[in-house]
Amino acid sequence: MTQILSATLKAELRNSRIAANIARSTAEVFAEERNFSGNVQEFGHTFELAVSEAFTNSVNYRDPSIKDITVTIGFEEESNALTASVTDRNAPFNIHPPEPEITEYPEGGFGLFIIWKLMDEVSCSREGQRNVLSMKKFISRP
Amino acid sequence: MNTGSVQTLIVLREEEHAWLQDLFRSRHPMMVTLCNKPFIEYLIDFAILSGSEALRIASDSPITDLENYCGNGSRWGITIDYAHILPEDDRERLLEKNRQFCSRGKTMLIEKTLFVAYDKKNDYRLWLRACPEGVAVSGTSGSITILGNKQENSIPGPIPEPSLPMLLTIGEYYRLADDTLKNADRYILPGYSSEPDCFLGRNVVIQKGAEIRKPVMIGNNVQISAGSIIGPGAIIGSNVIIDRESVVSGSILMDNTFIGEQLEVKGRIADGSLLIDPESGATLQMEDPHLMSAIQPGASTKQIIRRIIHALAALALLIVLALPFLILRPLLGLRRNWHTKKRLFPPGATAKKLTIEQVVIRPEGAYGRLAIALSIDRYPSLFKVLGGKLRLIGHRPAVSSDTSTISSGCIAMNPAVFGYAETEEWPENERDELMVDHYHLLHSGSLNDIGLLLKALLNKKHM
Amino acid sequence: MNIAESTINGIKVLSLEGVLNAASSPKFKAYLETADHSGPMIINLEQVEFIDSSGLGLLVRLARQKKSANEALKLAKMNDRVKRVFEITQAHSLFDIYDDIQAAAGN
Repeated sequence: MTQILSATLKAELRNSRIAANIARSTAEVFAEERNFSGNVQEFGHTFELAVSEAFTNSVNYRDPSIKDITVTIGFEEESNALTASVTDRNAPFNIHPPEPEITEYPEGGFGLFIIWKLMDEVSCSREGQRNVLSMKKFISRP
Repeated sequence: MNTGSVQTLIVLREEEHAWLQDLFRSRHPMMVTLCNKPFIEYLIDFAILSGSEALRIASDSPITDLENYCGNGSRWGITIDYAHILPEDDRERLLEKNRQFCSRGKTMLIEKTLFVAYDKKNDYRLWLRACPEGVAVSGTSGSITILGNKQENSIPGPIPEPSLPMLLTIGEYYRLADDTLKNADRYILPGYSSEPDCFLGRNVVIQKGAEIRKPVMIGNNVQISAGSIIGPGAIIGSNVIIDRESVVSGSILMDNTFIGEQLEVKGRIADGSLLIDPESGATLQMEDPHLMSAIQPGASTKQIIRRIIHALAALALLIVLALPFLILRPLLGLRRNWHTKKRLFPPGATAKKLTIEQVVIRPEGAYGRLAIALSIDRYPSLFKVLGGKLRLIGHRPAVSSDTSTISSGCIAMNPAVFGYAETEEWPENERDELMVDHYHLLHSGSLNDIGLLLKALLNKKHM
Repeated sequence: MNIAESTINGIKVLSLEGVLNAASSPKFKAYLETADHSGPMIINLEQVEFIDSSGLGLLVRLARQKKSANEALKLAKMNDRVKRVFEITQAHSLFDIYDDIQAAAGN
């Protein structure tokens, strides 16, 4: 795995758009470089949406007592896959929340559910005081 | 209104084709194959032959597998998009919701239809051009309705007409498949055909002494063992293994089916571990693992012995690898080369899921490579074998989600620390791996497992 | 995000434009809460370039309100990026979705 970029943003909701845009551009360039046979825009949208959800979660669950808190987004490439990671200093969380029951008109709880639906591999590791949420999508089989 | 363009609107409602859904639960009825080709593709073919430039699939239920398969239609050279309707929407509401799509020109509305019998040599553009507004073809198995006026410059002369064959029972499906194979020159069918009545897919291995009798159709990744007789009238799907000295004739084997040794399958439809008699409609869920697929994690004596042997072998490994683990684990931790990943197993399945934690070590540096060579990454999972939660060798949980299509429903999975596929050099993708895993699960006993385990230990593919 | 209001056939049409995410959805929420938005409504999503779960949650909330008031809520002109979010979450089963605004307004 080779790191493509890492960006640290202030943990504010308005920055989720920046994080998502970085994710989309990175994923589109990655897919184009690899001559991705599928839909490049859709691949870009996958990362845009997943990172938007992850970043928003990080901001929403931030510890308000810490000043100038940040969230870091990173991208790592392999020959056949791209991984986005979102690192925050929040409390550990459950990456398998219950699925929202759509017939009950839920207003929330879609975030991680969407990430799971979009990505091939989702994992969360605890590194020191940090949560690293990794989201991997393959463009082809090895 | 632009009368020049033609488009097709296919309407899918969940309540339709319940008989197919009951039999083949793991897929959308439109994704059930007829001669190794999903029903939806016959409708796409017909839309193209009728001159459609755009096709929309409007559905009142999830059609993820269908969408994944059809995509945007680029591989057929037609634009495909998707729309959502609600189960209570009537025809009028349906057309309102798709008004923009339909207003581009003449629209062919295909409802309740699984299959259109066409002949690829005909020009159905003539037929469509001559069709007045209203119902064009109708039967108990669906209808085709034309929206938009008849074009003025329609050409007189012989006009080909499509038909909608009766398709309401598994018996009718069986006869239609047979008929389609016999009239293969009418349709666009998958596979390589160097001679009439014989279609072969990619990666088909026919062992010496196996006999193929026409007409026959064989899908991709199929292994036919020595002494087997395939055909006449056999339609074999993809990812199928037919073991030694078995006979398959007048039968349809759906994708991912395993036929054991010395079996005779005549006049049947087999789908995974399900055997169907097309005439009576009777179904039989096979339990014998040596007959057809599905391995149930039951509690037979054999299974218990197998579990004990797996636990004992795991204990031996735990002892042997204890020292290397205790040394390498902290070193890898310091080098940030010890990551744990949680994985749902089987992927995509909706029923019983097991969360498996796997360790990932990158083959970097001397410690990383040594740790992988010694299978230190599998060490923590070995404890789960002692508890009976995992097997020592079996199915290795898959990496990506695209195996969900093969794992769901038809093949029971036995999650394990080591995969049978790791004993072989050749598997290139997860489908291959699954076939190897599956083959060994059927053929391997407790002692064999130990031999295969040693092979896997020495032959870890990522080394 | 911009919200433009118009009327077709006496039915209120809200045309949303731009990004509907956690940062912008409070604006839409406030807009819905400040004025009287009773009666049937059409939401034109053609110019929505991005929607995430926050935006979706808001539309689901609106759908619930309209349903309990027995009033129609129709979505129109969903682009592929918006449609994908509805499909992933199965939220499309809660809405009447039209590809044409005039048709949604019953014209």
